[in-house]
Amino acid sequence: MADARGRVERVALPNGAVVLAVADSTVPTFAATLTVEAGSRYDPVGRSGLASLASSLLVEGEGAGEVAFRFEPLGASVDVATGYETTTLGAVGLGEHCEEAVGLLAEMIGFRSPAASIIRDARRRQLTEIAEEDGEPSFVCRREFFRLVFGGHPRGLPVEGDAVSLGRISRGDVSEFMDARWSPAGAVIAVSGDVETSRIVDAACRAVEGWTVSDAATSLVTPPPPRPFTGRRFVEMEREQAHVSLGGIGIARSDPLYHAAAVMDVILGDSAGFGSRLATRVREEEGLAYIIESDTAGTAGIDPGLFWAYTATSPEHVDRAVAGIVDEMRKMCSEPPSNHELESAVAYLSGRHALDRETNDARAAALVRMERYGLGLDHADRYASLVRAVTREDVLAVARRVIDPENYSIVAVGPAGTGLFL
Amino acid sequence: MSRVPTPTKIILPNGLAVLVLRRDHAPIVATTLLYGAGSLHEPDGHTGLAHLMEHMMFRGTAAYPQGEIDSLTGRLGGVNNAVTTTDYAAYYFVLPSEHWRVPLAIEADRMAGCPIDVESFETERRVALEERKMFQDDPEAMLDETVDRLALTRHPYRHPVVGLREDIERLTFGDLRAFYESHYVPNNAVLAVAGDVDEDAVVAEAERLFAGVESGDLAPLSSQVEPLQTSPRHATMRRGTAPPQAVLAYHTPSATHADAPAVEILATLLGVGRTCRLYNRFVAGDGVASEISATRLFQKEPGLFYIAGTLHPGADLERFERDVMQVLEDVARKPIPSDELAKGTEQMRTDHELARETCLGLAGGLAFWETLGGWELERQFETGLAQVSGPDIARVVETHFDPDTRSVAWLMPEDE
Repeated sequence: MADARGRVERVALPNGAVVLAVADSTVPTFAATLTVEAGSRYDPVGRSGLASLASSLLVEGEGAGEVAFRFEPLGASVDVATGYETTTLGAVGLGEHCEEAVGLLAEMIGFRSPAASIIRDARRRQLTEIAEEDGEPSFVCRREFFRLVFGGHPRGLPVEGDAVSLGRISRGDVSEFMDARWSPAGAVIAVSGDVETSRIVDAACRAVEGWTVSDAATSLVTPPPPRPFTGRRFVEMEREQAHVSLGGIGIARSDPLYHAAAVMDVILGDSAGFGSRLATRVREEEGLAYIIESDTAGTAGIDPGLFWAYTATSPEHVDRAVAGIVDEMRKMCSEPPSNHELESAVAYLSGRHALDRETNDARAAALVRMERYGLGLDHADRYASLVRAVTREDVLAVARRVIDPENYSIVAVGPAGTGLFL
Repeated sequence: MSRVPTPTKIILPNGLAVLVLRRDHAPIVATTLLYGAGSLHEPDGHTGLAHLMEHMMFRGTAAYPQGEIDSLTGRLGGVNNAVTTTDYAAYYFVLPSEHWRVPLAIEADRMAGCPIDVESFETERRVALEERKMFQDDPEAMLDETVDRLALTRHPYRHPVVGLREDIERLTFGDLRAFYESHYVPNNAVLAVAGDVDEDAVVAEAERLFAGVESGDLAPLSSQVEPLQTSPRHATMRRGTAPPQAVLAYHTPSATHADAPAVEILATLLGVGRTCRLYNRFVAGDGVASEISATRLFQKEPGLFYIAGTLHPGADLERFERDVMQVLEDVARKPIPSDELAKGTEQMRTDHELARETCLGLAGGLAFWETLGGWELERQFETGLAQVSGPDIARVVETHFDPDTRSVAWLMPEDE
């Protein structure tokens, strides 16, 4: 029998990997993740999509893919996700299989030297997925907005790459990337579930202690901070609705105003239900859209993310919806929020923080964030006080930092004649 | 052995079923109030009515004016939302458990009276029309609608829950009022609460808040049996430049039918993970597809089982369809290896345990199965999953997956 939900155990290994585990015996399940600093941030120039292509080989084909198969007879599942910063292998299953699952994750990340045929098949799948996304206007809108705001910086390029960049990637590129980035330096193994933490930590340490940092890893350079671009772009797609994103560059996770940004998000466009200023105005009062939202904290990471507002509406309503959004952006920058708005947003964030860590999967992800962003193992306990410390003036300050209602980037995707862009 | 926990259950004199389950792993509570008010219950020509009603339930009541339900939820550090399906409309809250009384009070208030006004109705109709347009812009959603209409000629499951544009535009204030009065009544609802709460206290509070809400005369559900399909049906959609997609639909029994566990294990063997039959056949290596799935919906009445694939550009859809049928025939004709069956059973067992990680998963499961006849049905279903044999699965394929009863929708690029 495992412990009740307990304290986090942390072990830092000499090779740079960190193992974190927390027990929770509420249900007989577990989640385990292995995260490496191998996101699209590290794609070489002209090779966007490389991190994503390489990671797909972890769960497909000979080698790591065959190891991935071994989760399924246990009733467990494993998947891989690549974002801008990291690649994460994640497994969920019943607690009794956790130890074996952690060993399998370590075995998978040790995979190197993929056959050319596996790369070819993976590239083909990735191209089909890109072709599918090209038909989704909301996806195209998001992708083009990132491109517009971040220019040619890796932050602005799609994680999955495009047909041209994927076509350039050779087997050598994939092998070099694996050598350099699938490294224990900065890797985090996180486990939450119906497990004995000391035992699972020991097992994880044994599984990754022989993993060494390659010479290639030490010669890597990280990209410079992105610098913002401003512009407007229209992509014609014959659809019923037009999709609009507007905003600009945001803040990094380490920014002292990060929590103020989270509070601002709740007030402006990311509240419970439809209570934000944007949703109240554009959806509840004017009935112009089903989706209307904004975000800053969600994309904040090692590098600055975005401030952006997004909506989808009928083309004839675009001008009115955008005018409403910009007007609310202007108000957000002109005076601090009311005490009532601030208190409500702080209460919402504090409560939501606990709700968002209810599953093992979510708790494992939170452990990884604590480690990677240096938040401290007591971050969950301190979170409420961190957001309570945010003042009305902090919210105004962050609004003025990231929102420029007179000079913002905007992307619209929709049918010809979409009002604003005539 | 199923691990479905046992809740406290009472039925109030007005017919409201109340189920409460204590789970004290974290200071969280989830509530689900589920009404038998889905698209299945809409009168002919009124598609989208159940979904629009769900929108209206957030427009406020006398005690909670417009915006207050969301605002209060936020101030308490929680979330709320609702979903409408073919069979029901479900309203849920997840909150710090110290606030467990609040969602009960809100739900009792809006069950007792949702003062729908014409202005709110017109605003919400515009929002619903935008939501409908969002679906129309989604090729996959439209492909699903196409195959539903193809396979079902009479049963209301053929209609999209969000509604058809022309129906939404025609709905009247009176339609909505009548739907509310005949469906949003305690004898057509189940309240489930799960979390760090005292079960007796929740039951007492539910009795206090809901006992005064009068039961109603339920609108009879017109029995519409789908005629037996005797020949294959095909439809082709052309849209943009997206890769080709195909959906095959077969008629399958309801969630409470004796064959339901075997159908569920079949869906797992066909479509879950990377060692399943469809993935192996169509995606792995140089297969013709980039994605494939097998899905059975848990529904009150007989519905559809879907096999859907996204194919690489240029792939032959006809051949894909033939090959899918061959995979099904192999399941029916060749003995299923015991390790494959054991894998599928274990995957399902794990899936059900994972769904119970959250209080909302627990409350939602209790409410859903209760509307089908009793929360214990979930336990029976999970026990049934563990007992499914290879011959059971073969028989289910023989019975419900006759190639002549398939309906197939293709999505092709405009230029092919």
